[in-house]
Amino acid sequence: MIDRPDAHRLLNAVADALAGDVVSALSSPSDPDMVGAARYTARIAANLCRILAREAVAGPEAEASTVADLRALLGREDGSLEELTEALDELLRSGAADLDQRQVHRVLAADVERRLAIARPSYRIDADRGSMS
Amino acid sequence: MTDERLLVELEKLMNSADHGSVSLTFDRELTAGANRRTIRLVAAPAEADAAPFTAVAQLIERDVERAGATRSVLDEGAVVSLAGANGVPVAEVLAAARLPAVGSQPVEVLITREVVGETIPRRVLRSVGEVDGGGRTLTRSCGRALARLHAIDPAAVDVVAEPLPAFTAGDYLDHLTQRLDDLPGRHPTFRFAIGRLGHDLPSDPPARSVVHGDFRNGNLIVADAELAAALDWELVHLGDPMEDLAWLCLRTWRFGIDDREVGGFGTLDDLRRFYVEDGGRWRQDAFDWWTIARTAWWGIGLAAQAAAFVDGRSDSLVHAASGRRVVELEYDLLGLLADRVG
Repeated sequence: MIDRPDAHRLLNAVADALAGDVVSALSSPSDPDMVGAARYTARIAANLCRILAREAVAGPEAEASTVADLRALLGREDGSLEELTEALDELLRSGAADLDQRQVHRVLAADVERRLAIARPSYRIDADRGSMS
Repeated sequence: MTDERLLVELEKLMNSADHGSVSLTFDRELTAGANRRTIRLVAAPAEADAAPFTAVAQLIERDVERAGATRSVLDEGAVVSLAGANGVPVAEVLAAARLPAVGSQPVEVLITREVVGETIPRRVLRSVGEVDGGGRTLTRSCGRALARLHAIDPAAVDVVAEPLPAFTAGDYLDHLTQRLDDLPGRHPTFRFAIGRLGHDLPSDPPARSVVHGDFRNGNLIVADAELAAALDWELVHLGDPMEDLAWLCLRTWRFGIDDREVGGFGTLDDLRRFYVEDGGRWRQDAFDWWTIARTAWWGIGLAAQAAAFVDGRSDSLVHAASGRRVVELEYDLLGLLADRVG
């Protein structure tokens, strides 16, 4: 429900990696190990930038939808994503006899669809290709 | 220990084993970690007509006071030899011993003969694709290896340092719950999965087996579409054989070729058939249960890497990025759980 590190921490991590590994390799272009490590780091950094770009556009609406779903599921009128996530987790941990499992599955799946559309849209298996197992 | 000193010790060790006299030269470092390194060696036999060969030495600094924190490579060697003797393709164990302490910790070493083939998953998939019917050949090879491993009597395992860990599905579920409780954030999808797993424990295996614990594309050396050796026996334990089969088929290890459930190269129907043909007993309920449990474990593991980054125990960008892969495992889990809530 809540992806960590958040955008702020991730952007700093990307900046540190670019200023560290990648810049060092550019200063030592004849060291194949350093160049290889920098290539790997740069690819991860680029992918994280794309995730954060999608999150900047789609994140707020995705979060609002999940908050609305969780309020409906838990019968609450308010509560932040953090509070609602904790409340659901506690209910599930204690056995959640009064929660409809199908309903919980539906809410979790809708949240995951929205987060996956940000983190890695290509990971989704299309309905017409059948389920993964 | 300096590399020169180390080489002398390794040479002594090789020559005390039953392989004839060799002289060793250092080739290169394969991996280096905080207390574990892997190096590649060239061994030149003293006999004039014998060809030189390459060997791989795993070295671990192992604090005997904290036994259990790191698996002894001596025990790993014992299991690998036993598996090899029972027809599982493995890298031949040439020597395993505790070296005299030179640094702060005793060093354990396991030397195996290098096996030629591909291990990098995408290259494995490419090389298998180049062989006619290669995917099915490798699936047969894996099914047979696991059937042979699981047929070993656990009483035959002769460990040196400590007994292999043993756990049931119920124990594994407790372990998962603990791992989830230890995370700083809340992950309701994993909590939900654990709830369903507890509701639906699988049948008991007919007998406890030796379970590899990490048998999957990436830990298999593949040559000509056959399994040449199963690597990375660090997680070997006693338990339910279906755990190995489920882990081999996890979506994570298909490397994008999702319709080939077995590591991206084979079909589940073939794996089941070959495993049973070679004497394995397939229990679908346990396969399904372990698929969910191992998917949850991997997702929780990625979340733990991200937590290590967030709280400053790690500065690895890979660990930071793991946090944004957690949702992939949640997606897989909810797909697997869809039939169980209907």
